[in-house]
Amino acid sequence: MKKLIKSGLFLAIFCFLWSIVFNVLGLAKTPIGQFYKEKKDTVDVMYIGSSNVYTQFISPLAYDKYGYTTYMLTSASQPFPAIEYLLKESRKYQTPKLYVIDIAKVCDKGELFNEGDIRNTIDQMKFSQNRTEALNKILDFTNILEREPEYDENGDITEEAPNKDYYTYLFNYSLYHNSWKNLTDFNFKGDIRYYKGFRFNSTSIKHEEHVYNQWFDERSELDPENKEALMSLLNYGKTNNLQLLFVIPKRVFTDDRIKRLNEAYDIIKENGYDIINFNLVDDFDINFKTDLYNSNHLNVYGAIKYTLMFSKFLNDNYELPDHRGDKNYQSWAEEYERLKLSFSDLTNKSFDSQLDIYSNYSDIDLKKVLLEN
Amino acid sequence: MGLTSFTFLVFVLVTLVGYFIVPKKIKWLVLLVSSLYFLFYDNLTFDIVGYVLIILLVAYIFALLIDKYKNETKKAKILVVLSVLIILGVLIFLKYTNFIGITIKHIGNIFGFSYKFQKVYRNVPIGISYFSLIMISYVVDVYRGLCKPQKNILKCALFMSYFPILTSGPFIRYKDMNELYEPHKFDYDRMCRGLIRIAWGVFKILVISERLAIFVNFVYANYLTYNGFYIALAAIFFLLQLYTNFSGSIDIIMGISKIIGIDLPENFNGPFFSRSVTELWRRWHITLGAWLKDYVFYPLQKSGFIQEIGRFTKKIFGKKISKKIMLYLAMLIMWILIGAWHNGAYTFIIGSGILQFIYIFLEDMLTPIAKKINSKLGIDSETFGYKLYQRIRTFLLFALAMIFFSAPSVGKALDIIRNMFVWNPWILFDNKSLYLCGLDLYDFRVLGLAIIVLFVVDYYKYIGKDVTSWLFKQNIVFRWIIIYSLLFAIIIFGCYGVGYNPANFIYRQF
Repeated sequence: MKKLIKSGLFLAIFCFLWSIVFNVLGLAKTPIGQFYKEKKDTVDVMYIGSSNVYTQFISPLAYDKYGYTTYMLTSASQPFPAIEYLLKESRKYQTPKLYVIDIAKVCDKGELFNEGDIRNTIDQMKFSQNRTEALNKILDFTNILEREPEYDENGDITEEAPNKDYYTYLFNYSLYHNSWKNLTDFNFKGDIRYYKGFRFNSTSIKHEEHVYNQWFDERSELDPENKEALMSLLNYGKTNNLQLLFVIPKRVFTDDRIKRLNEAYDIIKENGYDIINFNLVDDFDINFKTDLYNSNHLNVYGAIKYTLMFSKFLNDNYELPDHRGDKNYQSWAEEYERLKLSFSDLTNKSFDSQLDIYSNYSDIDLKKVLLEN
Repeated sequence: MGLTSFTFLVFVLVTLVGYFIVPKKIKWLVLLVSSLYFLFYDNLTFDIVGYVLIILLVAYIFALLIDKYKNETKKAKILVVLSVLIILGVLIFLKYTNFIGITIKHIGNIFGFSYKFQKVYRNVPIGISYFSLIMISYVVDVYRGLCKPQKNILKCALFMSYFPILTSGPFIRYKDMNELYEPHKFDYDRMCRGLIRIAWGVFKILVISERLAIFVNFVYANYLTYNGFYIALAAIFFLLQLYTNFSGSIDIIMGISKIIGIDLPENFNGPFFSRSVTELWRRWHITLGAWLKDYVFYPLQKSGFIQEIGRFTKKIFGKKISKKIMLYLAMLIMWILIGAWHNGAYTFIIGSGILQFIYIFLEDMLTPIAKKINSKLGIDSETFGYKLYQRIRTFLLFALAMIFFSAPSVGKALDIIRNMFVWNPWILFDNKSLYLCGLDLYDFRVLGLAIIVLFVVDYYKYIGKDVTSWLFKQNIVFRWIIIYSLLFAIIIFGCYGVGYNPANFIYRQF
């Protein structure tokens, strides 16, 4: 008995120490991980998708303008099959009136995703059935457990084989091996570059020139796994009577991707859901010289334009409440203030002045686009 | 299934729980099932199963026959030779076909005949180099009357495939392994000791070996640019990497076996405190050396071939020198076999075979001369400074030989050694050059501290003390602080997880 108590105590202390170490040295909490800290039933719009989402929709700004709350379950290079499970997971804690689904990644094949992409999504989720199912789907989709190293013509490894140990994905016991060398406030507070899912840092104020690939009207088949994931998501939405709105972000897409996105667009429409392809919104004049920080992502100026336009549309077309002034929702106002401060620090400009410059974007009629297409 | 992988952890947990909850009579069966699962986990194909079955059936049947004909020496001798030849045949077929083919091709080139040989790639069962030799020793021991043959083929299979030893040994002898079939009860004290041993092994591999590997791999891949002292340091690091990887694996294996209730023979005993290469090989891969002595060296010395040479040389050089020639010849053959056992490649035969023989031969020749010089100059060879010099010399000689062990070809090994002779000692002190090879200042600090701990623990072992026993005598708070420090050192400073592949054990391929 004494030995049993001793072992139990040893393990309890170990678990306690482990939890401290894991929180500090594990992957800094990004929007999916930070989501669990939101008060129950305080999110009105759940916006899910890949990096396009966290770089283009400034949720605290939408709150400041209209009073509804938007949380963004986003992660870099989020494999499309993860979306359904993130949505399911979010429903355990929140009852949003609307789900906005970014489908940019529906056109990406599984082989394009690496171990880090999987972990960016999965490691941030709490251990649950949703997490396990999402993981299994993504592992099947990406085939990562079967991948071999890649070699160049000299036989030297150009890319190491990814971690093939399923349990390390399932239980996520691994720490990030260099964390101890670079302890920052991220390790203690989470990734503070995020503001309710929107990411803002020095990268967000850069700009790169890109050539916009004109949208066209051809189609090609989606990957079977992505198609299955999309159908499953649509069926889940129908079965649970969820209000879903799908979006295709404005950015540089290759021709192949455009064809696959058109196919996804049709499937969504056929299933009776609304979808906005921002590449077809003529008035949304994203400047490919000044509004992108790279070919795939809007910078903060592009994000302001997008948010002003899209937040108005959401407010006008969905019955979303106004929580401004309610203490329970104070964190959205606080995040907005923090964002404005960061913006001024980095740019020496006032955020409000930028809003004034782009104020006409609130007037863009997205409803018209929805009806036309 | 890597020894530090999560899959292996789950596998061991399931095995241990299964072992301790099943009735006494079938405990050994749990070990057998686990061992076979481990053996075939990475590769379950008809040919792999076939090779394993051939070795098992040959050893099992021939041992029974040898015992049956134990009074008919000639028959028994034929049977033992036949069984050894078959098992060796399988081993050679699987691991040495390419080596033999290439050797014949080279010989052909020298003597002007052409032999076309194309490399073949075969599925090889994990641990074949271990279990084939273990089964040879089993048959030979039955022949020598040192043990009775196992009548139950499944028990024989367990001896052959006992999972802890499949990856890195140690070599076990059937006569010492009765414990394998005994029903062991769960023992709390053994479990604690086993777990500490496992943690120590994981620490060696993940904190030291895998970290050193980053530097070594980088320098050896770019040895033309990173030459001189970079290579010298990489050679030292490789030896430490090899040692911590191999001995760490053995620690894990010994720890698991200890929890089960089976004590395996030690394979290392503070090798870097050895004052000569001869001593080093008594402390490094101990069970391989012992195996080769018992089953190769002594039989070789008594063999007709060596005796014939002895008789011939005696006539020319006299008895004393003739005995030495016989000894060195048997040693040379044994060292070539040690090298070849590691892998069918000239790099291994030179690095861990011939060069080791040369070191030992020179030691033997020069020690009397050194003693005379020391005596004349009044140098005390028992002082700390002299012992330290001997230890550093031994370490560096061994590290130099291990360059062959790590190189893909003899030519490349020689090239690396050639490039080592570039004078650039400033790279050790300029506070930037060393950090270009994959490790930064933090890594070097962790390595420095971990290697000091390693040497302290090894020194305790070297002087015959058991660190675990010492730890268990300490006050519980201090003891737990030490254990938690070890565990969290692995968790925080271990090279694993995202950005690291599971540890790739150097010795696993053997």
